[in-house]
Amino acid sequence: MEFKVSTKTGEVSFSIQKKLYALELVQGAAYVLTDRAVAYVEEAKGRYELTLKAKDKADATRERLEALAGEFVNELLNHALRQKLLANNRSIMEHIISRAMVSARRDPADPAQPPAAAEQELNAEQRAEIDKLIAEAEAEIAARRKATAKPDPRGIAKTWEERYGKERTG
Amino acid sequence: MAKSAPAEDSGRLTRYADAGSVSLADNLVSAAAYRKVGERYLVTNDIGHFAQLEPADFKAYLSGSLQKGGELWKELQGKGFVRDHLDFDGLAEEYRNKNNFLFTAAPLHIIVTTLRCNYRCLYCHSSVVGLDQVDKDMTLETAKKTVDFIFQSPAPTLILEFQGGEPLLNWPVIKFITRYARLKNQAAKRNLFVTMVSNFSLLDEEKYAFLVDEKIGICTSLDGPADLHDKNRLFLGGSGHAETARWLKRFQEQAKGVDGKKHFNPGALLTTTRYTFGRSKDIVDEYVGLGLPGIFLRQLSPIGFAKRSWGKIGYTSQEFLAFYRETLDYILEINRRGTPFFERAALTALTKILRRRDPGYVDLRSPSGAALGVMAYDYNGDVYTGDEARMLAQEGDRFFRVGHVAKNAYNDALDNPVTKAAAMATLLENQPLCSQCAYRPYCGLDSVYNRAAQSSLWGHMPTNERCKLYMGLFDIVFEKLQNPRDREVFESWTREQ
Repeated sequence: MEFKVSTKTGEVSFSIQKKLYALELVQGAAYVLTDRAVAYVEEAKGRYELTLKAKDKADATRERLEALAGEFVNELLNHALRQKLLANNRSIMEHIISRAMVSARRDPADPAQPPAAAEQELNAEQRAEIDKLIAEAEAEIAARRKATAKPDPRGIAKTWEERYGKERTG
Repeated sequence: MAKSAPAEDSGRLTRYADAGSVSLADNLVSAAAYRKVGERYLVTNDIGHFAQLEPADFKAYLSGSLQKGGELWKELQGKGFVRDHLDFDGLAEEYRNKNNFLFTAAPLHIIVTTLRCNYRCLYCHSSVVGLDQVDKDMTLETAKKTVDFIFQSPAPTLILEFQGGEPLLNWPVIKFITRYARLKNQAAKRNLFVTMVSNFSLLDEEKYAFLVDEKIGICTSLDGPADLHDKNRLFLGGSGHAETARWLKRFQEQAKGVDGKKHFNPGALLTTTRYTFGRSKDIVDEYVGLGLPGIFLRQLSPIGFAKRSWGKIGYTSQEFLAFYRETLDYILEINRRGTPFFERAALTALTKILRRRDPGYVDLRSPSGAALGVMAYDYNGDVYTGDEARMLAQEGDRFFRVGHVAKNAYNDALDNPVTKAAAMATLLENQPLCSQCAYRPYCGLDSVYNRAAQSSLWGHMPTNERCKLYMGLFDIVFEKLQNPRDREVFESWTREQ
């Protein structure tokens, strides 16, 4: 494979035969190298014209640019092999996401799902117990607030009603 | 001296030198992906089985020239790697066990009872507020609606986890939620667990008795010996280490059944900062000395205070992996000397790799556990796809808010487009690099991390530090699995779970 190198622009260009590699494989291999290079792909008769532009100026040497292109070609070969392996198994995985979403929903018609325990499903004794819990917690919160309140000798943190016991009028 | 992580491979798919010349035996090969680990080739499949092959065996396997009926062929066939000899019923059951989270609703519900905190940890992801901001406490009304919302979930197991801020600062609401949920569960009949993550500084005898009586599981942060812990975790009241250690011991005693009341063993987490590096031995010795059964070496996330102080306490994935390898080596050494002690990140991976079971860790799933495995409830009733999503909102990015406990139903949160987008973006089969990765059966993406670090739900894996970190972590685990002595220790960890 012939690599055209420009150390001035930090680019290396080469061709990939269409009959050997689909565009998605070329794009996949380019994606893997996107941390180090910007890839330009152009379509020509029977081939793709590739240009890789190094992101780091330190990579703009002939040796490094050729290595980058070589790495791209190796990645392309591996990408093709990995895609074949993946295609062999793809059908197993197709329904996972929809299954996950459906299983996570509450379905009132599904007898296998546990009850939602709405308020009305609790008996009178349980509801009275809840009221008691709320009253206890409210009292505890009020007591803690009072105990930790900052001194306010002039009453500036109090509302008008708290200070004078009636709404201000006029 | 610890070896450095394989920098050239971490974060990248490895290449097979003969990829261009090998003729794949389509009808025989059912491995999904490969990766070079050390001198061997790791092959994995969607069931989660793996085999580590010598290069010649790997080539023979791909080309279909392995001796049929031979020892290696039998091993591969038993693991579902030989396409014309698949046990569909057995493999389907294994797949279901490994991915059981796909077939149920979110069990984990994180409730932030307050944003207030009396610590100022250097890495705090929660962006907590001062002690006087009581308006950042969850009210009783919101607490009740939060529990009602949670019980709309069809999950047979519900775990209510109190977080903050420091949850003990809103103690009446902790008590109320616990009792109300227990009461409600008399009708709902779920497997209900209540847990709390606390710094223990506000714990007293009354609270301790309640936690024990109500069987509330406890987890705290312990960043190592006192000097390191107190450097990372600044306590407004002085040194926090002594109190943390004191209550940890107390809960451990309770776990043995003091007064006939057996409690859960307490858990402890370590958050790794730059100050942690070089302290592997001190940290593990501290944990072992306190009688803890294991440690979780957690990496920092670029969220909250950690993002703002990244320059001081942050690090690259390679730096973390070097620390991780060094610490894991020491942990393996003390195990071989007779002290059982696990590392949680490795154990999470190993539960998937060796047992093909889901360890319940929502950050390593495909699709991610966002809303599907966990929901988080802010002090004001806002519902998020997870706790990191809520933390991001504290920073001003409310993208992952999917509802409110008073205004929406549970199904509304699941129908929210953000929930669906997060699931699609984190399905590894939808990611160009992940779909071909040999670690796909064990890994998972985090759309909150991707958004925080790379401004995209999908992220960009070739430059994604989290991807590099997990790829490196799996490299270390699989490398050690090639060593029979290390594998023996790993097997013992997974047997005890």
